[in-house]
Amino acid sequence: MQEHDEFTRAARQYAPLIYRVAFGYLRSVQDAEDAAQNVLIKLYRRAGGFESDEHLKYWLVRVTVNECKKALKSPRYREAPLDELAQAAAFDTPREGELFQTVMAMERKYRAVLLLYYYADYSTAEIARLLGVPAATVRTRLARAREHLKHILTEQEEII
Amino acid sequence: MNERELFKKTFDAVPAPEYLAIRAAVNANADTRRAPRRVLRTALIAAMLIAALSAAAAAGFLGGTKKDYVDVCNKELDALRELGLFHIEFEIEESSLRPHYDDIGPDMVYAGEVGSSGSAETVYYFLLGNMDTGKISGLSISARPQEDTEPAFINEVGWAIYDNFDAILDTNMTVGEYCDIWKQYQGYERYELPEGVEPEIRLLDTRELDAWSFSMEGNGIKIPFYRSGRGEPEYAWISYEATGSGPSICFGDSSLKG
Repeated sequence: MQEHDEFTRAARQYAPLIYRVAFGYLRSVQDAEDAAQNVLIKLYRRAGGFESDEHLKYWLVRVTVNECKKALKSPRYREAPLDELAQAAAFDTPREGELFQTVMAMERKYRAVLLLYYYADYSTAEIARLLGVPAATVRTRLARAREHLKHILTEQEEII
Repeated sequence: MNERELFKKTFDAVPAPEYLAIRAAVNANADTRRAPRRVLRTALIAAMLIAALSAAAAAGFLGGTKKDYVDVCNKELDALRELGLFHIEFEIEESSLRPHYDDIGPDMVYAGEVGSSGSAETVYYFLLGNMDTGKISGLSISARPQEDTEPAFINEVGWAIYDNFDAILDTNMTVGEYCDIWKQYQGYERYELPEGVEPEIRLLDTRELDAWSFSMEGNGIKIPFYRSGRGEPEYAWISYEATGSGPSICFGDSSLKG
């Protein structure tokens, strides 16, 4: 991406999405920052434009997923404790805090699907392409993750 | 607030560093590279991991006790669940497992609960494992009928037929997805769909296709899968049936032919 203004606009718009997807995937502030920065450097250096904003977003999320997978192989990679991650965020309601804790406590494969589906707004077919797994796998993971969330949230409501 | 809005609000509360874009632009311009990694150490760890994984994979079913066979079967069933082939839960138990089952040849392991309920009390299953590869080569699963609902239809002799396939698998799975999962699990290089069978067709709609056969060899659609460098295909079937005793589906090749 040669045009500096174009890069600045795209980075401002999508850096939070890139960072939060990486954060959810990696469960580490430091590694998420590194992954997000690598994605933005690739964006900066990319020659040629994108067909549309959707194309740009898809490219960024795909590169983010790849950077996260790369980070997992690093001997320096460390997941942060759940409590530490929750302290970094300011939730408006206890329900949001509970949802965050529940999602972040799940296995990575479920977190990734949840983030891409609910937060990045991708369909199960698009997530399958992003993660390189069959769409049926994505649907199964999403169904299991939803079931797990539903159970926890229902319990929470009953306690309240 | 719906699920998606709640999810977005929750994760929007995670603060994203504002300096990311600026730092990226500066680093890109300066052609900054990360400090050299401990390449040798990483390579050694990788080599050790590969060796350990290869040994575990090669072990497969070979030389194991009955308990080892059961553990491998259950681990492989989990692997297939994770790949999204099916989601029904059941476990193989030692009582249902027969290594070196005479009818299927010395290189196969058989586990089955046919005609009586399995360990989960809701599932009938029939499994063939390849003892050389440690992989499940064929699997037939029957779920209990959903008797508290209306049957799908009543057959000519008056039996209520149930088709609650959703108890077993994602009913939206397509032929292509099924074949991709089987290919990935077995490590095949490619497969060939018979004429008239498109990858987008829902797995549970294939019975209406011309490629579906009813024969002594098996009922369903037979799909050849090829390994790299080998000409002879191995086969997997698309085969399913709604019955009075519940929906039944077959993965891979679970015919008792050795």
